[in-house]
Amino acid sequence: MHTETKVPERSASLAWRRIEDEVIIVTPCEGLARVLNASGSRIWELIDGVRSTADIVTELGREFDAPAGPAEEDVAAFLAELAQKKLVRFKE
Amino acid sequence: MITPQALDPYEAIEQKTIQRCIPFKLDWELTYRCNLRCIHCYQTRPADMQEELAAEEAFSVIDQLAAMGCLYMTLTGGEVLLRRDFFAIAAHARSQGFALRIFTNGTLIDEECAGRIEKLDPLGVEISLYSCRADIHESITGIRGSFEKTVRAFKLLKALRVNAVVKATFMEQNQNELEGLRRFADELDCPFRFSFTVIPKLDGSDDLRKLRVSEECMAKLWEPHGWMVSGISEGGLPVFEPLCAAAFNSLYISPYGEVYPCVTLRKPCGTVRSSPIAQIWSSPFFKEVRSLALSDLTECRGCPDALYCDRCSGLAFMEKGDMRAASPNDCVLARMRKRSIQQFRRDHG
Repeated sequence: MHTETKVPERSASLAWRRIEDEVIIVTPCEGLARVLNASGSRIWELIDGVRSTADIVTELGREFDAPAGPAEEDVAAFLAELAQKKLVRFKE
Repeated sequence: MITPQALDPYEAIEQKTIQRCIPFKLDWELTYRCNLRCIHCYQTRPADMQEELAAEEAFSVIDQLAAMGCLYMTLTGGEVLLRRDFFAIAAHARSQGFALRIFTNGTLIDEECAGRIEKLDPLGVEISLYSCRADIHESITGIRGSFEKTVRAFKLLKALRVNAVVKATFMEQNQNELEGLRRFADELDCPFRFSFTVIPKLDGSDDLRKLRVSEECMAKLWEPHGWMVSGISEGGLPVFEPLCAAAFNSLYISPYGEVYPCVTLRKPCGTVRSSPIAQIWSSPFFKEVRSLALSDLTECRGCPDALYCDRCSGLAFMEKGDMRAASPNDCVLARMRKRSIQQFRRDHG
């Protein structure tokens, strides 16, 4: 499966909230809190279990008026980092 | 995109919520009903005085607070598991992104209930246990058989890897039980928390004070390791402003929907049945609590024990009816800490 067609979804076990421009994510099993910066927070909010990575990149491009190429790499790397921390998983 | 922070990320975001007055933490008593009769319970209102919030009303509370930025929700009572709709309310909170803590006496947690709690992915389930001896525990809870059920709850939850926390209040009845409880918690790999504070009854009577352990006994049990105060002001008071987080980033809701800055600061501000929570959050008493300053604390100014004091405006309000006064309970604790720390320093150079 190509990166851009992968569909990320948030882990059901975690708790999270947007506080102004930042998202705080709490993982109950670890008792840990993590904070995302503004662009990470926006990506987090776009993760809905329906949008693919490419959809998220397109949406960000529309919102931030950024060229699609670099954004796709950044988003994919960010999503991979979230997946590695088990905050998201990719739907098959 | 995961921000490196000088502060722990939680600390940083908590500071932000305090500075911006975002209701980040909720303590919510879902019911006053309880199946135990604990001697130190502060609750004196008849459990059926009014109708508890219905599930639909509770869902609205959750939705409103989620929109306001609330993340941490502690569900307590009474005994929360007496509510038949407890799991519906808790599940709705989880679906809205809340991090849950559950306070319970554990007696209603059987295998099925433990499984349902596990599915909620709570941050913690804090269970009151007063002794590892049934007779002492039950001399406090007032109900025979409660010890065995509470111990069973710990074992069932731990088997499911739920973070069960052993929580004790020490009183005259169980003042010798600390080591036993610590061993029990260690054996089950549970965190252990304890306190000497017996909160005054809601009806203003102070007959719970007689349950408190003596200052001498506290000094023996209390361990000074890790006690920190950031500094003292010229007036001799700790350099903490705001004085506490109540009304800044935390609030309390009663089973009837009354909203207060804290469980101890119960001055009518409004109920969720008549006003949006955002409106109550800006009500005069919430603003008054936010305006509390070190310079208001005339009784505490110049206190020689201030460096050792973890002052609570709410306790002062309950004990003296004045949140600017000194809390006698806190005065005792501060004196005890000072003695204990000074002794520790003498013993350890």
